[in-house]
Amino acid sequence: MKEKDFNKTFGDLPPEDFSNESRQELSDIKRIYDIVINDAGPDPPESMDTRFYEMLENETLKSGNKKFGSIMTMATSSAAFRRALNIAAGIALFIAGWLGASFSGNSGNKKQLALLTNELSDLKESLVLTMMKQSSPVERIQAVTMVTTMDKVDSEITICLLSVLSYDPNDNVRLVALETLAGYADIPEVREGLIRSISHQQSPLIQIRLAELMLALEEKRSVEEFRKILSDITLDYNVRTRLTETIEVLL
Amino acid sequence: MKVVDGDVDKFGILYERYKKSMFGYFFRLTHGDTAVSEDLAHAVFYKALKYKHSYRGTGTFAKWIFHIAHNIGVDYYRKMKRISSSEYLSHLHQEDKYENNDIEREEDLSLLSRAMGYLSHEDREVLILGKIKELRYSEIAEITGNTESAVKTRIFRALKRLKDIYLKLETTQYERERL
Repeated sequence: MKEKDFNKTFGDLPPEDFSNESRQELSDIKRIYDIVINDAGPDPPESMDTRFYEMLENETLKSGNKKFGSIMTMATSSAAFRRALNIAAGIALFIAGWLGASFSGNSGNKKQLALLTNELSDLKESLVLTMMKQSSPVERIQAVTMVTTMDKVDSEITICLLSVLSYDPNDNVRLVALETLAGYADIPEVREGLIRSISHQQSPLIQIRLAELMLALEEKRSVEEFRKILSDITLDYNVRTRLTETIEVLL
Repeated sequence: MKVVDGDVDKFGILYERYKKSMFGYFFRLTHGDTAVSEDLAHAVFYKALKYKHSYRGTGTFAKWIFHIAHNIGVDYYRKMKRISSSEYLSHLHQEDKYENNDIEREEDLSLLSRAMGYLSHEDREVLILGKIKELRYSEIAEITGNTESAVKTRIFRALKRLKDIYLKLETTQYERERL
């Protein structure tokens, strides 16, 4: 996502607001603006998740939606799975730390330590790749979510995520893959993959999210892909309107 | 749109997408009050689910849900105005607790949080909305009932006020540390 640019945003304000300010004044305001914009804020407490999913459960029961079981399983098992993974990572770090402390200074053992760290990273990657191929959508969502906990993501993972985005039979899995990939949109291959995936989407939610993303990225190459979707005469009216607006802004 | 059509379980995905920005919105608005921010953010998602049919799909979902948040924030502010000013001020001046190892950045944010406490509710809100990446300025204008240029002017003037307060607090803190 592109940051909201200070000069672009405020440069066209009337002179009494912007251009009459001294250079020092503008520089101070810009400094405050940067702090405000870059303040990511805290993560919400876990209790907020619990309250939300309890509310959703009640609401779903009221509306007679039987799919809810999968949501609760997804929310709880995903959290439990992440905890288990964190414990495993903690144990691995402890072993790595112990090895490091025991053999510090020895370059041979430093190499062993680096090897161990790489192996752990590979193990996590293999786990993610295996889980992405599971038949259960919940497990595939867990796999995609796990990617965000990885220190670095290689092309094997991004290719797999792009494949999930284009071909996974479940819309929820695709949407989570899209949200994850959006975080790597600065990688040219990922960006191209995101553009290519547009014409594979049937879900209005994903089509609109992709349109928002392409707008944020100011990605003109996506226009052709959106036009392919627009050629479908059965396309949802709201999606049609949104895609048309997106194309107008991009061009 | 599937949520609007009654496919309620999709709402979980929307919640996951907006929970951080929604919590952050109220966290800044209430000056780091975690409990109140959680309550207000929960109220937003509750209302969004309850009144899902009012989302027509004509604007972004972000705009729609932050419109609800804006109304809830205004109600909260009105209630806060009814309580004693000293209680309100002590509430405003609570410092944020950031889990951040970067001391300088932590100090910046803590100072920023205190400085925000001296702004009006409207100035504070427009600054917080302005930093949400999913929202365009035209959408912030719709949420707050202004024109786009008025929103930009308001943000700029709020930034100016914030800068004055921030620098004052920074100088005071520097002088206090020297003593």
